[in-house]
Amino acid sequence: MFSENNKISVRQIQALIITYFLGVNATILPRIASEYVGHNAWLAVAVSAVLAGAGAYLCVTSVMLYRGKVSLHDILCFAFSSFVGKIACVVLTAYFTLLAALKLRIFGEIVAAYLLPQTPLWQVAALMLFLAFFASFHGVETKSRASEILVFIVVVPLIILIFFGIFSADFSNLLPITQVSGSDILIGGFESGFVFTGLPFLLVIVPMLAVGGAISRRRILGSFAFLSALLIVVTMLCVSVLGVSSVLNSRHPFLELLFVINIPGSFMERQNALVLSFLILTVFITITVLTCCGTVLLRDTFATGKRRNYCYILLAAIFTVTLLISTENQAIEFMQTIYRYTTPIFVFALPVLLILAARFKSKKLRHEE
Amino acid sequence: MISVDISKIISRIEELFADCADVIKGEVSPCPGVRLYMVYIDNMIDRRTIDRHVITPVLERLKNASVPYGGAFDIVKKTLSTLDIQENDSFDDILTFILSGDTALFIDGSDKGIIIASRGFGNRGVPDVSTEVTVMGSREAFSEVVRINTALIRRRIRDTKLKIKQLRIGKRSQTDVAFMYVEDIARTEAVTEVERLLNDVNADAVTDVGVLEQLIEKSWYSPFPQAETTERPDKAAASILEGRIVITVDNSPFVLMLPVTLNSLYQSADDYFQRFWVMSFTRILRFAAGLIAVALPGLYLAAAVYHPALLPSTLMLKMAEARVNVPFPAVAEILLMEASFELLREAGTRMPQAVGGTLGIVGGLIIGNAAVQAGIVSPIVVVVVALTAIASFAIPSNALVTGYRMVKFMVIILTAVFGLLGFWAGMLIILVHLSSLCSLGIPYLFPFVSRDISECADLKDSLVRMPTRFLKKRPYFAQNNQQKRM
Repeated sequence: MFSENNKISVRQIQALIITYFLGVNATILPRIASEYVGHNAWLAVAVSAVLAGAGAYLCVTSVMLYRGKVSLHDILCFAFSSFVGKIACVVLTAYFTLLAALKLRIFGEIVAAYLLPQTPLWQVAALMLFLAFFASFHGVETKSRASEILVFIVVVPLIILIFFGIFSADFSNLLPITQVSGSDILIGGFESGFVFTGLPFLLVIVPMLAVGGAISRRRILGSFAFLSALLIVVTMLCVSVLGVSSVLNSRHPFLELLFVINIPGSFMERQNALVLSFLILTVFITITVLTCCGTVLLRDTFATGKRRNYCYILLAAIFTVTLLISTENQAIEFMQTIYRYTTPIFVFALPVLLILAARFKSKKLRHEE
Repeated sequence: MISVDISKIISRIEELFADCADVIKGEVSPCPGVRLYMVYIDNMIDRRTIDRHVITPVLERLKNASVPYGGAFDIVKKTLSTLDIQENDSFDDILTFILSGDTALFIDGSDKGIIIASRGFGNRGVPDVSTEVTVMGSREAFSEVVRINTALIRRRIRDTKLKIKQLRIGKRSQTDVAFMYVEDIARTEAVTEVERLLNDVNADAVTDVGVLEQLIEKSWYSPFPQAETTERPDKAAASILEGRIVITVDNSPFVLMLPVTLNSLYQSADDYFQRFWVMSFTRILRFAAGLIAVALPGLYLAAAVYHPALLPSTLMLKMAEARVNVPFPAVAEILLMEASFELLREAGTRMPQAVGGTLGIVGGLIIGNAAVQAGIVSPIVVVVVALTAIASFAIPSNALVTGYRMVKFMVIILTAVFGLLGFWAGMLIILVHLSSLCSLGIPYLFPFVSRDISECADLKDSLVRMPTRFLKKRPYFAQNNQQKRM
């Protein structure tokens, strides 16, 4: 009952996962997948979902093995050494900071293109960062509670829009299914995994779970399955409604899809604003999660000062990087590079090492518990 | 310490109460060698109690008696024909009792005083409900006297487990404050926390529950209430039975209920007196009203200024047509009308009840109409502001409405600067702030967030109200072993 604002529930993690991954990356996903497998883009997304699911399983399992530890920093220091743990935390913080900056840049460009063409990008970035700071300032539990509300505001209208999208779809655009080779699907699947960039945030968040265990793990993976299904459906709809060539030529096919869906009897003439509302909310969660994770890691690493001071440092860094990037394409390319070369390390290699370390140090771990 | 020499006591009392015309002090000597000195405050005591149960029997008993020096104390004490008396050897305590409306009796040769409970100042008795009127249910309301308020609760919960703890708060005001809870239903940690908060109050005076609420709340900067107030004893009793703690303050006809959640602020006393279909519909309406009260002006601004394409073409054209002759930008229009409405509301509160209604009509209809005809504001803005105002009146908690009124201006300003992005920024700031609030450890947005701690049981009495037969569990405020209602 009397919480300390540092523990979160499984339901809150589920909400965070769904809202986080429906952010800016999801708007580009159908195009990235189509670049490799054409109209079979949804197959690539399905493969990427399986890969991400496996990664999520490893992340959740690895940190759950360290039951007595309450933070990733503690886990890393225990599993390897204090020095390695601190280095890993700093690297992860840099990873989260860069991701936040890149996602913010892409979001800023979308806002400039569809909502506020006259407003300078730095103002949009500053407003979003202020919101992220405001949420991070109040702690992990506050942010998670907010996401519990936001997940309904985001997902319910999205599902309604998708439902109406079915009526505008030409499913023959998805045929034939077996035109591409297995290797193309695998490569496309790996590249489409770009949508799950930032997955290592689970490593930071899961140790804060109020109640761990197999049931919690199952529920976390269940939310992943739901998210994956949603992304596959969205990709299928994009290709079937817009056609593969339009998807390939569109900057944000997911947004384009939502713009063209006709809702019968709707009060709104065009749902641009509604769609961008959804994007604003998801980006808010994305930036907040990344900022919060970075802040927690930094505070644990240096073990001195208040959390909010680290928050200032991170926000200044995110803001600077956001403005240093020159175009949206550059941001996407940069993010793809980060995804290709770092995410597999954090999602597969690090958790495997943590699992092995837990096996080797099982006696000590039990003793500390 | 009290001197055995009554002359010293008399001189000290005379010195302390110099220039206090309302303090009645009198010395009597019913027999040789016995001196009694009585002190009370005029109109704060019940004279009949003193005459019948103190003065008459004491004078009768000691008349022509032969009493040794110092021996009168026990005789006087046994002679008093009232049970509610106590000995006290602390001069400061006795002064506090006198100032609270009790009578002090000093006897020469004794180092103790006798306090006779004689409070009897004028009060309204049990008044009728005035601010939380319901169609069905009790008409009784709390009064300004702590003891009447505790009695109103005791009448509704005849259980020995109902505990009423009383203390005095305010260095100078020494206000009586009592908090009530059912021992085996309220969470022990919540009771301990409330007791600690009350004991930690460091103030000159606590003149009302509103003052106390601000002194004990954790997030003092928040525009939202962190305790629920009510004037209805039936509502307070029901909340005690749900595991909440009720605080009553002398001189205030309202009580505080803790813990509080946003959900509980949307509940009204008669929600449980009517059929669940009706009340579920009403609840949804109230939540929608809350959203309109905060968001509608901002949403209008976003649609009218930044994203007109969002609206159907005919509506967009109508709005543009209506705004053609208006000299101000849309944000100035909205702010002007909202400020006018706030002025009207404030003026209406200060005016006598009969004039208040007239003021509303004059302000709302005549000035609004004149402003539209003069081309100062567009008719659609009047509609938006009026809808916002009506929505705010549909919310049962006045304190919550006040909070919404404040944050509404933030949403308007942010929307004026950033359009839809600003609108959502405002809404997110409100959401994050509400998510950060806790009342005695329970999240303010519970059960809409953190609902797994009660396995979603509290959702049955939230956005909709399930039939009474399904409301078998108490809210999460109650102890875990008392979740099931008996």
